[in-house]
Amino acid sequence: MISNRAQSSFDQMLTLGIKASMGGSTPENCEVEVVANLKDIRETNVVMLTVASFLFRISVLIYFSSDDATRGHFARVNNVDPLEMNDQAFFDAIRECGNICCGTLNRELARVYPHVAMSTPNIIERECVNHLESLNVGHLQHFRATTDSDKSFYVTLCVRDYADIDFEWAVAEDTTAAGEMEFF
Amino acid sequence: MVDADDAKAEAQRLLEELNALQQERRELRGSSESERVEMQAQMVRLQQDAHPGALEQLERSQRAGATALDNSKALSGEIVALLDLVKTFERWHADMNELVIHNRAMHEKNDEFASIVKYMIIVTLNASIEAARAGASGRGFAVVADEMRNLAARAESLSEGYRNSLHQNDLITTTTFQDLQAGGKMIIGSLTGLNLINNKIKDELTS
Repeated sequence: MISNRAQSSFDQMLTLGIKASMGGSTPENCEVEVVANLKDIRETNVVMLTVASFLFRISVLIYFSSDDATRGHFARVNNVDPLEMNDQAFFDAIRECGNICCGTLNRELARVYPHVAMSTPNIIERECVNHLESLNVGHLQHFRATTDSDKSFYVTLCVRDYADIDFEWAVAEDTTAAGEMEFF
Repeated sequence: MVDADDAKAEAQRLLEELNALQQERRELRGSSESERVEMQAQMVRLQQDAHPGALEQLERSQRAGATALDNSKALSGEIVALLDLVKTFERWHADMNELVIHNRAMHEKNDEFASIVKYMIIVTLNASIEAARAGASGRGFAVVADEMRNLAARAESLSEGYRNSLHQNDLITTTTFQDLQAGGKMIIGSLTGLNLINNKIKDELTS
C-alpha cells in the first residue's frame, strides 16, 4: 500500500521531471496539471520508461504523435530545422525527453531510496496503455503539461508496489538544473 | 743495520701485544654473550610479567587481520565475477528485442486477417442482397449468405480481441523487460559500491 504522502511525493517528483523535459523555455514556463483520464486524447504512441527499486516499480508514459506540431516542437527544442528532422532524429528526441523526465524522477527517488535504477526508453502503441489497469497498480495519475509555446503533452505515472511505501520528500533547493548535462 | 738482539726483542714485544689483544677480544665476546643471555632472560621475564590475555589478544587480532585480508581478497574476486552479470542482462535485452519483433509480426498478421474479414463481411452482405433479388429461388442461398455473414462477424470480433491481447502483451513485455533492465542496473550499481567499500577495507588491512 502506498501512503497518501508517498503518492503525493511521486506526483511532485514526476512534475519536476515533466517541467525539466517538455521543452518550455525554462522549467517554470511549463504548466503541469493533473487530469482525470486520458480517454479522449488522440496521440498514437507512447514512450515508456521504468524506475525500479526492491519495493516498487514506476512506469512513466509520455504520449505523442508523429505529427507536424510535435515534430516542430522537438525540432525547436533541439535547435534543428523541422525539415531536417527525420524519423530517427524525431524518435531520438522523444526518447531523450523521456530520459530527462524519468532521470529527474530517478534522481529525486534516490534521495529517499538509495537503490533505484532506470531503464532505457521503449516506444509502444497508445492502445497498450488501455491495459495499464490490468496490472497490479497501486497509484495511477495522469498529467497534462503545457509549454509556453502552447504545446501540450500528456503523461501517465503508474506505481506498482510490493511492500508498504511511505516516505517524506520535499523539493531540494538545488534542483533547478534538473536534467541538464554536466561537463567536466 | 738492525741488531739481531733488537729484532728478537721487538718480535717478543709484538707477540706479547698480540696475546694481550686476543685476551681482550675473548673478554669482549664473553661479555656480549652474557649481555645477550641477560636480554633474553629479561624478555622472558617481561612476557611472563605482561598481562597473559594481552598477548593472546594480540596474536588473535593478528590472526583476525590476516583472515580478514584473505576474506576481503576472496570477496573482491566474487564481486568481480558477479559484475559479469551484465552479460546476462545483455542476453535478456537481446531476447526482449526478439520478443518485440515477434509481437510486431503477429500484429501485422492480425491486421491482415482483420482486413480479410472486413472484405468477407462486404461480400456476404452483397450475397444477401443478390439472394433477396433472386426471390424464392434464392432463399437457400440467402440462408448460406446469412450464415457466412455471422461467421465473418465472429471472425471480426475474434480479430479485435486478438488485437487487444497483442497490445496487452506488448505492455506486459515492455514493463517486464524494463523492470529486469532497471533491476539489473540496480544490482550492478550495488555491486560496484560493494567493490569500492571492499577495496577500502583491503587497503586499510595492507597499509
